[in-house]
Amino acid sequence: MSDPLVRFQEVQLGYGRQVVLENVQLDIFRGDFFGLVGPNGSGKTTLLRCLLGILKPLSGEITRSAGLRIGYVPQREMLDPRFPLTALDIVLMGRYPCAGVFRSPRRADRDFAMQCLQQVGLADVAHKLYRELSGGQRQRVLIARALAVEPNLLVLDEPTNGLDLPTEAAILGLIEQLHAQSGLTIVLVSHVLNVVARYATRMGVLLDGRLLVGDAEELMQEQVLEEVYGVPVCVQRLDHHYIVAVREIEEACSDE
Amino acid sequence: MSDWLETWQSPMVQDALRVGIVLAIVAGYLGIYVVLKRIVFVGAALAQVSAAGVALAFLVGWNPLLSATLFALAGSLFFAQSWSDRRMSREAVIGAVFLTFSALTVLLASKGAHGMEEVQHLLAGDILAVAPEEVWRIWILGVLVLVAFLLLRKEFLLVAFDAETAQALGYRTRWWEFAFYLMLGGLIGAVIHLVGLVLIFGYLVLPAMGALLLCRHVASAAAVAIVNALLATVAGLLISVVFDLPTTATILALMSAIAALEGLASAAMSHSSR
Repeated sequence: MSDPLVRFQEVQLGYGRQVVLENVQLDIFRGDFFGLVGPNGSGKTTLLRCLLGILKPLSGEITRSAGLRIGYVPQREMLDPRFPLTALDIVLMGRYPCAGVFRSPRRADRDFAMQCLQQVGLADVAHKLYRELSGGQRQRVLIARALAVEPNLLVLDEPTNGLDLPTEAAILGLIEQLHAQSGLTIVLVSHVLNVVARYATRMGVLLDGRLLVGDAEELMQEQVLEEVYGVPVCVQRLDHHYIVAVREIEEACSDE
Repeated sequence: MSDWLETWQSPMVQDALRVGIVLAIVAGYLGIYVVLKRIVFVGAALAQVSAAGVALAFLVGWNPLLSATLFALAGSLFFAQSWSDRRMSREAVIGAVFLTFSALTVLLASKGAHGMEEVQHLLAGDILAVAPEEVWRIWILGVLVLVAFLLLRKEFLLVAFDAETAQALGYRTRWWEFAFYLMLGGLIGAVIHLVGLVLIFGYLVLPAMGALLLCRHVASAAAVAIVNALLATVAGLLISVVFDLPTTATILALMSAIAALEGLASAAMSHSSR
């Protein structure tokens, strides 16, 4: 197997004296679709920030392959839509590092940004203001911006939050397409278990300050998820889909 | 009629006009980022911190410009920090800084040679009292700040809009934040003892507000903010000369009126487009 794009070796993550995750061992290989799940406050964001290089580990080593370019798609809710920026303006931000300080993006950067918008199906709204776009369109704009970096690793933080079912399916379909057709390595952070289990080739589950890594079949087990979430769950498999329900509700429904 | 024309053409008014024009351009432009970054009261707090620096300078006999600038730079360093992991909200801290340095300014000035008159001057300023040698200093500083900001505008915009992605792209956002506050603080520190706290605060807020209500893009908003500020400055100076009104208040009133009109125009345009 080739060298991983990113390797976490015995990494301890946290802030100051507060340790959030211990002994993290994780390899992300080229072509992976890695899904990271866990309850609120389990350390997903901490691990993500470390992966992006924003947060330094408390101990251990994180190795990144030479020439690694990470395209990051943040949570939509973190951005202020009142900024008077068009979809193209935002996607162009992905080209800023190429342009360099003191220089404006060139014509070639603008053309590439337009291509990225086209790739996500939004070429026709390039000059529309970000605040005038729907939630799904805004999410696509952020994905296009990440693509403008020309990444070999795409990291998405909760990309389907607040989206209705068809829009969620469309966004996930786009991500899957980027993985399958463009060969992009994906790291998807989500609290929606069935979404991650459906699409990821490998999963990471955060439990009691540790990261468990495996495939969906290994980790989407009732005893594993009960330990992670602290509630009794029921897991059913339907084709490629996992359906996870909290057991009390499932029993209440069956009583009716 | 000829009286006010003679007054208008006097060196005192022409110097005030020159200072006003450079402030209108630079602060009008920076104001776009101040409003978008939601740091409006940081501008006021920095202005107050600078005012305390001036009050201290007059009390102990230091150079007021140097003192104001040093205080402003220290304030910039303080406000450039990240506040996401703190126990107290950023707004509360800004308020506390504003109030603390307001009190300090009054206390220091009360012991100075001119007492409360100095406090009044620091608050309201007097653009008409700018000395000729100050005009060129402010122009040089203004041009430097504007050129630096124009060259770095895309990085400032990215950090303002999405600091986390900026970090993921390799930008050291803390340094960019500090650079922004440094320019803002430097500008405020350099002019506070000349034009007063209220006027510089007004330049950083009102023209940008009106422009952002009216315009759909950052670039056009910046241009309109500068026009707003220039219009208010020139007309404000002229009206204050003709009708013998306080200059600072006249300029501010015009800035407010322009912002209000642009707000109404924006509301009318949205209504008609439905």
